[in-house]
Amino acid sequence: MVALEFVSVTKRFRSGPSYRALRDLRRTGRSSPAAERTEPGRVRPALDEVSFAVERGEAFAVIGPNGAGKSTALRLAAAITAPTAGEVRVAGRVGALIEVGAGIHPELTGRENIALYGAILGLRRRELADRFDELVAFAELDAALDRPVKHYSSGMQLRLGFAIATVVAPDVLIVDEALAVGDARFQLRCLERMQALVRQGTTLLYVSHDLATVESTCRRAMLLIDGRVHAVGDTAETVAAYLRWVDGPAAASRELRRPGEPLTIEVPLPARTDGPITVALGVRDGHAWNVLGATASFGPERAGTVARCHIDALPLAAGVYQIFAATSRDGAWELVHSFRVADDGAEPRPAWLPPVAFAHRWE
Amino acid sequence: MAELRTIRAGGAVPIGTALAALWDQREVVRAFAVRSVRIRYRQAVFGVAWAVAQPLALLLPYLWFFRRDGEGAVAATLAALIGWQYLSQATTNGAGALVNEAVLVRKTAFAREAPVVAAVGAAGVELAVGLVLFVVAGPLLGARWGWATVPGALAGVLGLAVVALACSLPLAALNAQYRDVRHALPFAVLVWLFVSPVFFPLDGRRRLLLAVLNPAAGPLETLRRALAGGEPPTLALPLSLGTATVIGVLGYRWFRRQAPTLADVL
Repeated sequence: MVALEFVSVTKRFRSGPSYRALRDLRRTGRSSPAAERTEPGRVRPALDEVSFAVERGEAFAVIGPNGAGKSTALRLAAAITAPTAGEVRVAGRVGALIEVGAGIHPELTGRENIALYGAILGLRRRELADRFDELVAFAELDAALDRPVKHYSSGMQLRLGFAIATVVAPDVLIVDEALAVGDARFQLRCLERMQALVRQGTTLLYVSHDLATVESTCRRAMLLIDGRVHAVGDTAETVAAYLRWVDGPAAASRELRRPGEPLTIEVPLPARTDGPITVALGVRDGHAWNVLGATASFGPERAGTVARCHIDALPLAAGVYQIFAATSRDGAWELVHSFRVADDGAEPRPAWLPPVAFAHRWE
Repeated sequence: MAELRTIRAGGAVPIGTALAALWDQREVVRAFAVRSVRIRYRQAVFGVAWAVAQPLALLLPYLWFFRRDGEGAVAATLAALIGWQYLSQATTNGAGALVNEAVLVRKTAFAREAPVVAAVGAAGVELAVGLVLFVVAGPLLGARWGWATVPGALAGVLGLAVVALACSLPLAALNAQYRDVRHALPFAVLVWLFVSPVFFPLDGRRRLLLAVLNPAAGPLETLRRALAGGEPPTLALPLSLGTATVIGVLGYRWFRRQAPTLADVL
């Protein structure tokens, strides 16, 4: 039985600023949907003919690079906005934890905020009163509950938001990356809560860059790239497809290294600069987060040259790695190098073991 | 397990579906209203006393400069001022409701009418305080009450709520799209006050024309007649409500066309 379905869903946003003033209307003329269709330059499709179905009780992940349309897909599933073309079908009560602090007003107390958000999620006042203790216990907020939320830490706000979103026991739970904030213990409890809800029959739609969590939580996944479905199916296969895409055409010529070997990474520096060039280097093992990182600054006279980072002994266990580099302060991460580390004698590395190798001995 | 709900592309939400959803989410409307009243008075030392102070403050310059002789003129002006205070607050807050709740609109799904309806309802708190003020002060200022006072006042108040709702629904959606509305609104409300029978009675030849052109005229006159003189409504009330209905039906249709994608523009 289908709990959530997208049928050739396309979503376009107006380009430019998110709000308009009347003078824009005067300049461009009245913008109609037809006009937007004939002016492809004015609108970018965030989702392009996306179709997928999630069975009831299934945990389904949406993965992909930044700007691929993952969050747009979640917003459509949560009925926050309507598609430009196509249909979204959802069964039952949807609980959405889209962003930290969604629906939390800073001037009001935790208790008062719970009232509004509970109502938005479809809880009657009595239902909310019945579950109040459970919610407060989960969020660990009892003492702070009658203080304005503006005095909460971001972790407390997150706990409040997650507790509200999950306490309603929604038929479809939508979680977007929110677990990236909050302390490790609470992240773990949120994961457990999500997994418990799935066991009880809740359908989960989950967006995350944390591919390890995606693999441990979701059975199926969809890979979105530039608003299109690149792959959909078994999570492990979809994650593998994503890593292949991240690796790009370099995958075939990937060089082989051994743990402890030296490695030199070359980063071309931009030809033009206004001042010192900052270089950030991140080594990833297929997840969005770096397992190793290094940063350096070069004077403007180095513009157009190549910066070299020498690693004397590669502190990595067996696996496939990508090296991303970003130049200047807010430059985008780009793949500069990809290599494989093989360690013939070693056992296959279990999933929980981080890939960083370090000198150590046991007694 | 609930049946599948379908969210389709384009077009307005059918009015039946929209009203059913709004009724389904009456708890949301209530929560928004409670919340806006709480926020309004949270850090205000005088709290609801502001509801009393505002019409009185407007009445004082009137008494000083414009007072015309005539029995009950002061009571009549105070009654109309209390009604006007509600109308302007309900319309202004209603028109700003979606922009004020932009974060919630962007991040959660609820009937988009809810914050607008709640704002129009929440303004009723100050209206109630104002009416209590009138019950106390009215007789001292020359108000006379009769059988028509209570039903007339009810009709006037409901009429004002209808006008406020009819105007603020399209204004709220317009405000979400074009922020010019926020700049234009205080000025427009001031102009509206000048063409509303607050500091002048609705009489003379142009009375019915004004009632048609300004939907606030009929309800305000009804409230004034009921509270100050104990008199029943005139033809001005149905004429104004007719205009309000036209504005409301057209405005709400436009609102329903904007509602599905408001999260994208806010």
